[in-house]
Amino acid sequence: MKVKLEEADLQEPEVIIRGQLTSVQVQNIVGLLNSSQSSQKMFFFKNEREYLFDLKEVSYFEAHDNRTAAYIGSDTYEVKSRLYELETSLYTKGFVRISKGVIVNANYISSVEAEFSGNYIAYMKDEKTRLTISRKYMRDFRKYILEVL
Amino acid sequence: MAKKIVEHIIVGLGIGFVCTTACLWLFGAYNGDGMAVMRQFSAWLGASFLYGAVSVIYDSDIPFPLSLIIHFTACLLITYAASAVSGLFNFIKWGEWFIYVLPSFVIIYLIIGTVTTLAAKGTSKKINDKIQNG
Repeated sequence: MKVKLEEADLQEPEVIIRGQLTSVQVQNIVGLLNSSQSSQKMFFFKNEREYLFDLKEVSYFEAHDNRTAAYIGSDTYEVKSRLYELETSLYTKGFVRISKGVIVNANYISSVEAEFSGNYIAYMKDEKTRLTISRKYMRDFRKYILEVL
Repeated sequence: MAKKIVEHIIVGLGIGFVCTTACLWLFGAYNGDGMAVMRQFSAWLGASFLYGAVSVIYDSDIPFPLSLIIHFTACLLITYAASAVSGLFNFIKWGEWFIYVLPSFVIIYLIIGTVTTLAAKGTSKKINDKIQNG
């Protein structure tokens, strides 16, 4: 994808996209542009208190025992949405499913490594967390990193 | 799911046919009239189709060691059945199958496993390059 920036005397910035307008990449760019105008924040819950965080701060979501947890820094918060709902709504915001119970913020991944089992390990930028990318979701994850992100 | 099965079958047909055709040439196991050749061809075509179909197990949630055992066993049974259907037992005794065909099968299985592992390493390198360089 070519990115071309031009100085112009306009009242507000103008974005023109040329190419296959139906492609996933273009749709994601449009989604990102639209979402940048709306809130990127989300409510999280812990000890009966409500917290508002930017989605960029979430490293990953994990579903366990019918609950969805969000990992922000070293803390864990509860989220009211189901994992499949988050998977759809956060796809254009850098989040992708890597296993049955985990959606990861791709921007928090520092590297991946193949395992003999066919699964992959995602090493997170905190240098402590290791998440399993299940072979079932690997193809979609690969596509997301190489074509969408 | 159906799409994945079709993808695996296509991959299975590709790998299986290349391997089995190479083995047929290498070992010179068969000769005969046109119908016999067609029978052999069809048997290994069917086997390749099934090799691909059973590979879907690697996309399931079944733990890897169990998937590997099931896949290996299934492929072994398919190979045995294909050997029977193709008429190989007209040339060798069933017990000789374990001497002539089984070792070849194991070697081919290991080679494909190695190639798959190397391909996985290539994939992780591509992803890491994209993550690090944007």
